[in-house]
Amino acid sequence: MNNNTKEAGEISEEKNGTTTVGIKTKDGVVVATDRKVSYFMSTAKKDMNKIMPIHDTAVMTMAGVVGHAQKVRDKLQGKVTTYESRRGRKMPIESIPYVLRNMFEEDHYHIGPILAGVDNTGNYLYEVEPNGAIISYKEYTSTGSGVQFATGVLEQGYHDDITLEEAQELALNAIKTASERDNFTGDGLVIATITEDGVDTNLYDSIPDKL
Amino acid sequence: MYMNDKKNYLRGHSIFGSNGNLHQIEYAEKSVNSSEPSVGIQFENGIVLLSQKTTKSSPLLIHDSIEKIHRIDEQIGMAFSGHITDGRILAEKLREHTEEEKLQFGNVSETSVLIHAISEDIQDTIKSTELRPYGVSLLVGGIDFNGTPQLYKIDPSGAPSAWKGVAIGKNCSDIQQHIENNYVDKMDKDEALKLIIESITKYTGDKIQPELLDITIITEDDYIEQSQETIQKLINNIGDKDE
Repeated sequence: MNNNTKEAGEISEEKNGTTTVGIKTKDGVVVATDRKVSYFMSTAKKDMNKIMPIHDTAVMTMAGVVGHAQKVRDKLQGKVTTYESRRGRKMPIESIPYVLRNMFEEDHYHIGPILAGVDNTGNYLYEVEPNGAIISYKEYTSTGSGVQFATGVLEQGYHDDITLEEAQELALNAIKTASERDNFTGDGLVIATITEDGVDTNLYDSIPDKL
Repeated sequence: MYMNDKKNYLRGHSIFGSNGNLHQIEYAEKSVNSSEPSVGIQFENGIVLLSQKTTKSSPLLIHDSIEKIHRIDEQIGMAFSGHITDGRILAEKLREHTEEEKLQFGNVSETSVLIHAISEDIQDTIKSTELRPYGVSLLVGGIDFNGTPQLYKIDPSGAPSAWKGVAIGKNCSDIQQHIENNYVDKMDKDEALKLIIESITKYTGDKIQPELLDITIITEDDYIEQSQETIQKLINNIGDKDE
């Protein structure tokens, strides 16, 4: 296990207040989260990276119990790697939510992750619920305690021809609003842009005015 | 003495013979080689599978009741030669693997995934002292996620191999030779059908009757089980050209 897992595992068994958003565009997918890990009414950690790579061109966000999210990430990374060594090609992004769904069937994880990925068949944005639901979004989605605030911003700012740059700005604004209005969201921004070339993740200690 | 019995190695088929061979597998292969043949040919955008049901037609036999080509998935079919009931069991296992794969990953993106899984099933019976090997060779044809047709042969030993054209069962080496001599890359469907009918009619002795054959064509959009009328026409066409 890496240090990150141990560190967070000790910190929190409780629900992690969070805001995570995902926006799909024609050129790629943008995912953003805040960086606060809350423990009951206090803050346990202020610089968490809640966007976790699970594939060369896919990420999942951390929302819910930190330990559960990290265990799921490790398992998913393992499945993706084994798939590739066994079959000689990368796991299609479309298969990842199914793998995750089956993990939810075996164990109960208290998480609400967004899955975002890109491969040569297209751009994908999913939410997978612990009850087994796989929800594919063609526009945007949000999870976590600040979901109402973020969704309001996304709803206003999204349009059909949104570019990657506009999506990044919109994601920033959604996290910014949630940070200001949700007590369990804050301490900065993680934003990842996923294209066929890979995942570009940037971390900020406080929410920047511009990316 | 029991231990000195020369034929002792025949008692358990999971025991190697003195030449390193596994006798029960060789017997299983013999059983395949003495049963009605099956042929598979890959063409430009699909696979055609053919299998002979019985050697002799009877006016009282309902030929449809004998299934020699099983549909495994929308775009995957399996023909076999050997013990008919063993073939059915393996078809069912392939379907189970298909279900499992869909549950795991949402779809069956590659035929090879099923081939590896069924090959493991077959190999399991070879290792066990309580089981006999399956007395069948399989031909599995399917279309992969990128539209590529795939044709696999699986031996009674469980060993898989991929082919552009392949025959199993009685006279398989002659049929194979005929396909090898006449195969061209990127054949269209009709050329492949013609070749497969030719190869079977040439080596089955008597004039083959359409009710004795199962023929299935698998392409990216279709899975077509050929009707007896169509097969009759195909056979007639071959006959006309010979004369």
